[in-house]
Amino acid sequence: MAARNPSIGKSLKRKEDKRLLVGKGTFADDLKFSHLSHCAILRSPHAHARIRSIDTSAALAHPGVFGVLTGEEVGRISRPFPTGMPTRLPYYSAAVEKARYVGEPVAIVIAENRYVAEDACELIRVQYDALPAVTDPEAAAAEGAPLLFEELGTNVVNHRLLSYGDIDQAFDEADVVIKERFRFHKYSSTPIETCVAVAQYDDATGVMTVWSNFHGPYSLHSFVAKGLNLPENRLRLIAPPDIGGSFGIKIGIISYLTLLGLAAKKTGRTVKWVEDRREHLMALNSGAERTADYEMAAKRDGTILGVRARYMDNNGAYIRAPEPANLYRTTGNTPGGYRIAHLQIDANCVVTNKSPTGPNRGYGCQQLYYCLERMVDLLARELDADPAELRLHNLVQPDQFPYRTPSGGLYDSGNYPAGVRKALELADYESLRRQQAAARRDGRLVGIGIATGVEPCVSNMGYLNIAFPPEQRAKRGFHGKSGAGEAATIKMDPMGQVTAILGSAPSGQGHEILVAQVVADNLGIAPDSVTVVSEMDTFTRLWTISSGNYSSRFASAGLSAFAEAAVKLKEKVLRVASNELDIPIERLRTEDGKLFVDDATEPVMDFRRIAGIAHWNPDSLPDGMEPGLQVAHIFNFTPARIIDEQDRVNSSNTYGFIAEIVMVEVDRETGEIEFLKFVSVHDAGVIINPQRVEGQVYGGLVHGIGGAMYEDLAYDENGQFLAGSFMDYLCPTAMEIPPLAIGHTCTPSPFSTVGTKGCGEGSAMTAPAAIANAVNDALSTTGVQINELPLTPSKIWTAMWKAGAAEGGEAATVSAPATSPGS
Amino acid sequence: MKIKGESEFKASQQRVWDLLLDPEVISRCIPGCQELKAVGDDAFEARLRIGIGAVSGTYEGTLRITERTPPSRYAMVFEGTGRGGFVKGSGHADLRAEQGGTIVAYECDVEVGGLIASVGQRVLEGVSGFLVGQMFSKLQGFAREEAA
Repeated sequence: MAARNPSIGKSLKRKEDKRLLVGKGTFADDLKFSHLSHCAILRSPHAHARIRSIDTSAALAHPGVFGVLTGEEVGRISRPFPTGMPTRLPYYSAAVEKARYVGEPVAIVIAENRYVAEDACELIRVQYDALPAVTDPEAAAAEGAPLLFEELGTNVVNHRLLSYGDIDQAFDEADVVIKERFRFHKYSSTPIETCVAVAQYDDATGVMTVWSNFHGPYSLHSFVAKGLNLPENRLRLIAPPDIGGSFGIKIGIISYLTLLGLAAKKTGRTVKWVEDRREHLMALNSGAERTADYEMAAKRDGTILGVRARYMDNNGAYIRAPEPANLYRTTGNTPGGYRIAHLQIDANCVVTNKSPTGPNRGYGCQQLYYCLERMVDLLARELDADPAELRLHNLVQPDQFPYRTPSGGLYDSGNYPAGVRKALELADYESLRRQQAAARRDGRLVGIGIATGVEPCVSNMGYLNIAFPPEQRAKRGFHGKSGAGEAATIKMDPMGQVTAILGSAPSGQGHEILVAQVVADNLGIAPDSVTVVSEMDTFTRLWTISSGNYSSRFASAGLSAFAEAAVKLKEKVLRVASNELDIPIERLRTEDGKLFVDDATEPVMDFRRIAGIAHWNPDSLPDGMEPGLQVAHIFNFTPARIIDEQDRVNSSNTYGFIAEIVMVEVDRETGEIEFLKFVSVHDAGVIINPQRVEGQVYGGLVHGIGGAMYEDLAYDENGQFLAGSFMDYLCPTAMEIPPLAIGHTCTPSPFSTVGTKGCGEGSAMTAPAAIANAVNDALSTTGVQINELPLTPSKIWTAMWKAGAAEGGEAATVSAPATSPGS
Repeated sequence: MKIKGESEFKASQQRVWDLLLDPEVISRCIPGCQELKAVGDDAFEARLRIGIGAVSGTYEGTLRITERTPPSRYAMVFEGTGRGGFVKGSGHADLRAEQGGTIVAYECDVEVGGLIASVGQRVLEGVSGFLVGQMFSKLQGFAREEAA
């Protein structure tokens, strides 16, 4: 029964606001411990080197030092992390025998304070034999490249050729075939709070407790346990109520949880480590760099028949879970919002001497849509078609939902043409084209870019199995995966007050108010009266293996769990009331913490009375009813099925939609990009709290702009890392962000209990594509095309300069010539 | 990183040659040099304190002369490590007499790793050029003193 005065849909302020604004939040660094020791990590200055020896004697003799743990010892006392692919790699929490990227931990010092620990790091003498480094995925895949793991004989550590439909037929039937090569660069996120970990080992019980700002997925709990060589019920992970951002990349903290655990065990002390910004930039996860070769087959009328692509993903020096999933997380939504029947992906996971990669807001989608949407624009140009019309021609139609993609995705709901039309309307597209024509007549470089994207949310763990070929998956003993669950616990205390307890750790999105709204509306109470508890503790909380704050999953997985738990709790309340009042349940309704009969305006009883009976007087409860009023509930998405024999998998569970239109002007003299228009339309299903969604949309967009134009984890040719501070790693600030016109469409998800989809990644997936299309449209009159990111002024200026300098102003393309995928 | 340049001395080629290969003189001309001692034929150990960008620290390392053609050319390799990471490279200097003076043309290939590379790359070339310039201007001073 819908609430009479629903809070869902209202922009209620975050419950977290006050404590955060007055500085009373509790972050990992705020947790207090007695007798704390502090750690500093010695890191490799070499991109690739054999470690000949490590002399720790001077460091150990330094006053205040309690111990030093070297990579060599880590190799002896721990186990390598599991890899979610057939090839096993010796990935430990510190370098064993070889260092494979600049910044890889080589030793950890445990001391009375951080100053002493840092000083002692300088006293460790490491003798390295430097080895040739390789940083480019294609160079690393080439014959004769330096090998990171000699025993494997190759740097391509995972490869799958995924075919859906009949790709050859698509190209045979095509009127037009276009090809292009793209380079998507390595960049990250910049959470305000870096990683923090505190570890303590109880040798009496054998329990290792680690406090950290790790937000899940808790599937990686088992990775840490394996790394520490502990049974899972001896590893307790605890997260504080407040985490200062993650954007996926903080998943990389799992290797530090292990390293700190080993340090705690070795010294018998409670040890703490706080990551500094340079450590964060050079050694935590980043998104993967991708070189991609694309071919698109189309009919003359613009119908896209097929896409064939070869991905060369640069996953850095080790495969850090959930990698190599950057290649596979997008499987179900490979065709984006388009009806493309034939697909082939030649997916390659390559190790190089750069830092390891992982999920970065959008996980795989920014690479996917950058390439796909550039291809659609190139097709439009080839056919002399309007890029908006060409997209509308190919989009999945509203009557086709739920829509099954050839690669197994099950798009739950949507109205993609409506989203694009809304964006065109908000942008006043016709007028933009007229303005562009006028600007061009004046010799100005003005361009319009469009991008669309299907936003996959709530990963189905089933996609992790794509890294294994079908014949391996078919073997006995292979552990197939599926599922996308989340846990919720709700309690009504003897006074009738409600406490809702999360099964995951939020990182700044405002989950507490969302839970309060959903629980309140489903139970018939006021959101203010709900206390929401947002810490996480794997020993005491209800959680599932897929629990965690990732993959834009909370709004649908988390809130569905709470909505269903609230409904169950309400059923209990009504059952007690019905028994007490001797009135059938169907005639009772709840509102504002009270019970009403039929349409009466005067309540017959309040929750306090019912709760009192349930807790204090079980003897008067209906037969078979357990005392108290508590619900522990697990929600699981039913479309989260296991992968099939043809490699088809519904890799996510809800699918939102994004349409973006950007107008830019490129300065001929400086290569700078100025935004003239930025429109972003989102379908996130039912919106619980518009203010929360707006925050996410802005965040994703700014991140997308950062990726498109500023952020770059640059390395030199020797594998030296060049972006170790905010002076070197540029992030957009408020000054760089244009006014944004944001619009929404709403197609409720039929699979999420509250109709929600996710929106946490959003434009981080599509803005790089939209901006690149706009810039290339602006440059089209100069004959210049740039198919790599980031679009820095120097890159744009150099390309223009080359084009102008060439005889007759020939076109310059800033990327290597296209080669045929799979060749 | 490549460091390349020329320095003009108002002294004879032989005199400049002698200066450039005198550890005592060189140690007084390299900015931040705390120690430079010979540890064998054409091999030296050095300790330097340098600040680049926000990174300052002490570096210890070795330098070896690999080619010596008096008084016109010598070449060397060097490597050092410190809190700021590591430096290694090779270089050579060519001396030629010109208009009563001597021109020293030098060229170095330097590889920098670790902290300096990750936070100082933007300023590295500028600072390196500045330090090399400082060293040569001190050397020119020595040459003038000796000539006087």
